[in-house]
Amino acid sequence: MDFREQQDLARRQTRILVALYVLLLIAAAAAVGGLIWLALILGEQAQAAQGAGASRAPMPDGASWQAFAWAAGLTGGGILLVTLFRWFTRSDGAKVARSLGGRELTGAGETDLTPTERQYLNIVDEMAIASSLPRPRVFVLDREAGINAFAAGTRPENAAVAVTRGALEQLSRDELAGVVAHEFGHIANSDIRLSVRVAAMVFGFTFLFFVARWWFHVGVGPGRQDARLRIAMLVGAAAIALVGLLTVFFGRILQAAVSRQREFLADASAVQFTRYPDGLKSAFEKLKGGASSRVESDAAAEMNHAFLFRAGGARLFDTHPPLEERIRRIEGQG
Amino acid sequence: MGIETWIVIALVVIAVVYVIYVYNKLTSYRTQYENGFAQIETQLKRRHDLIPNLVNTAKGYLEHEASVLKEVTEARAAAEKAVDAAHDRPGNAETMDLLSRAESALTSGLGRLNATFEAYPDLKADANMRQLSEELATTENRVAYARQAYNDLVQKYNEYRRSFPPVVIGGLVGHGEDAQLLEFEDSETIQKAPEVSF
Repeated sequence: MDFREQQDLARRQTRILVALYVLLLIAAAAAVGGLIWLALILGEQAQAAQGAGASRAPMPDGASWQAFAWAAGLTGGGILLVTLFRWFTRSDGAKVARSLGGRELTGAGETDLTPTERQYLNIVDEMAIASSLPRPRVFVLDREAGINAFAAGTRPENAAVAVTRGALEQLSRDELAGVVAHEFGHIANSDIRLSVRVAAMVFGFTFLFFVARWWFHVGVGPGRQDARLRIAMLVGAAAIALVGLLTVFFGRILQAAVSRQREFLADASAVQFTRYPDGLKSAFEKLKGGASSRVESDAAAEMNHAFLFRAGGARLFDTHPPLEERIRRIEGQG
Repeated sequence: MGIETWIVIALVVIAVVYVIYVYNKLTSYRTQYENGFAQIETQLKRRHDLIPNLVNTAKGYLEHEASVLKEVTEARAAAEKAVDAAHDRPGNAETMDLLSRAESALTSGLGRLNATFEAYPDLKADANMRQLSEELATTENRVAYARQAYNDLVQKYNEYRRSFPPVVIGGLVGHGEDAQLLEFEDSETIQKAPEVSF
């Protein structure tokens, strides 16, 4: 397996996802614009029905189309802005590791390292050689007693790896090496950048909820609209919220599916780096045997996709394949 | 000039550009495996530097096993020489062979030393010794990984060099020979080094 190839694949996947995102964005913007247009038409009809047309000037020609363009443009732009806001954040791996309660091991002149910490640092150095990557920054999550690990950082140059205290205490050297190699796999395959971007795209559609809320407030708020228009506004708000809900819902499922694929890939990379599948396999079996992978930190929920094992969360949105399947694939490879 | 002349000129230009392209690619691949060898060298030096420490720590406990210690010390000296020789000609069949044999001898010497340690529980419990054993384990792994990376790069160079047409062009521009893989006799033992139990 060639990393250049894997990184190309990750880039291709990103491009497909971006295309899908643009399509959804256009669809959502058009839907909101269309609803505005419909509301204006309905409003005009209502006024005409009441015979109020005489006291007010009729709507100028093309005004409803202008409203459509404004609404669609604002909605699309809003989604795009929210996405971009997330797209470029969380780039620094060390920052993410610290936010989860990580303590950095620099390996330079630290004399108070425990033997297991020393071993962990050594393993990271070994994997840097095996993967031909620069050595990432190294963290321990002291407060976490479960067995887990993650990689963060959107580029190899700002990447960080972290393991829990539980992993250091409960895993053997070979098992820990397999786990660290898996995290290096994520770095080598550009998985972190991919998942950040997918998450940003899904997050962008939450903007639709703001639009829906605004419509709702206009709908129930004070004003001189008639009842029919009010109902139309409320129905519109519900429709927008539904569109938002659906995009976010399917986005999450898609996000989880991408993440599961990248987990398999990272497992395969780990075997390639160590040429020793039994280490990671044995760590998986330890988990299957009842060891916990739970991560307590509040910040962990958002970072679930980055962890070695699931840190918690529902099954449908699972970011990780089942352990049995992962073990089976490693065996097939080794 | 007739159109035929232009066609001939165009063909010559294309041929020259292609030869330059192949030459640059071969040279780039060679640089890559040479850098790969520099990595191995760094890690082998690290390994060699650890051995005097190991011998000194063990000496206090192993008064009656001086021959094993001497063997390891001598194997280390030979291995250092082999690294120096290989430094000047990485990828060369002769120096790689010498290096492979010297490092294999050192590995088997260390293996015998480990077996001796089994009879000395005090030594195994020594804090200094435990740290050394971790250092030794990680160094063996680093050597193994660096060697994998080097061999992958050598393989890439050799495969490209043997393909056609580079196989024809390579001979003309100083890329006429395969680079030598670095194999250690006990590479299996080196891979398993983490299981060394002191």
